[in-house]
Amino acid sequence: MPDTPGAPLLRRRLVTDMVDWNMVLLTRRELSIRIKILHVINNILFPSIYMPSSSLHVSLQPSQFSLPACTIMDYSTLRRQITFMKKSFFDQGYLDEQFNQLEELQDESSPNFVEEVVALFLKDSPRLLTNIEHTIGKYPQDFHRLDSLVHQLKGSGSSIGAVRMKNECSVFKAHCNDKNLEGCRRSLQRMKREHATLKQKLESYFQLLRQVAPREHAVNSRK
Amino acid sequence: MDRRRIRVLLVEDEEIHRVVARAVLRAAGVEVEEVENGAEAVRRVRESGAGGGSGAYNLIFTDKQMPVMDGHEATRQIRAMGVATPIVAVSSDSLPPDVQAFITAGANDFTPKPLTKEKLGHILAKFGLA
Repeated sequence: MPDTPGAPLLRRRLVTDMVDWNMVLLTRRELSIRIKILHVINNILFPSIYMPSSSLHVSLQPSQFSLPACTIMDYSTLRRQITFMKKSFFDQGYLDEQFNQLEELQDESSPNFVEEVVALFLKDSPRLLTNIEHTIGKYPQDFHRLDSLVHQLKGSGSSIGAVRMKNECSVFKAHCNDKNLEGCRRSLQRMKREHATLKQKLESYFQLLRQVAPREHAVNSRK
Repeated sequence: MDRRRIRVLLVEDEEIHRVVARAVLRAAGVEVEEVENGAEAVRRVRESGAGGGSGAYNLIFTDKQMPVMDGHEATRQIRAMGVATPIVAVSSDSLPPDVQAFITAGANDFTPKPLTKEKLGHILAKFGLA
């Protein structure tokens, strides 16, 4: 069936609606359904299926409907999710410019640099939080030791741009200086909550990044 | 100045800071050597040709809190050897008393952690290494 006048616009809108549907990860079933719809749009309604601007050219075989592989459409959605997620980290004050600095240091010779630095933070920080909690519980109080531990945690958080963690560490340090144990205790609870939230967000972020990483190379090599 | 000829000694005990600083320094094209405490730093400086020979470092970055020997003491001992290599303290403690303590020990400058491309650029320019 040849394209009729106005058909490219309609096809583009149908496909765009498919891509912009939502920002959540697709389940395999959802992905399969969308692939089938795209197949109908591209191969049955509008047989000339090449759409360079949106990169939605999908050559489909029935066996691909059940594949878990990331299609080009899914790649675009994932990429937008990653961008949205990262923006939210900055908008909500979890990360600052230092995170961008780490990304600028990432290159072909160190392609996982950011994730490696974040992994170091996530390795150090639970140990430091545990040590801080243990030291708070000791008697007599050792504020010098507490200050030293939170100093390390602050530095580690600063390395990845974890601005909320860094700020809470500064609050904790001030309580140490005032020898305010109760203040330290409250601050520690806030630090632990911040840490748990940040850990979950960063792990989700890198999980998404890992999904697009192999495709980035494939997409770039097709250009 | 050809940055490949710039030798920097990084004195830092925590891995995360070494990893970040190393990446920043390498991206700037300088040669980096790393030690994990002040005592090692003093030894390296002594062995590198403290008299300003070809083996000497062009710049030293040092942390404050380190095991064995901290950054203040390492700075004092390096200066006591007559070494004039610029020493820049890199520390999360950036209150005026912390900065002043390093300057008193003989450091030339101080920058809060983490080291960034921009901070490094200013430091290299300040000491004629850009």
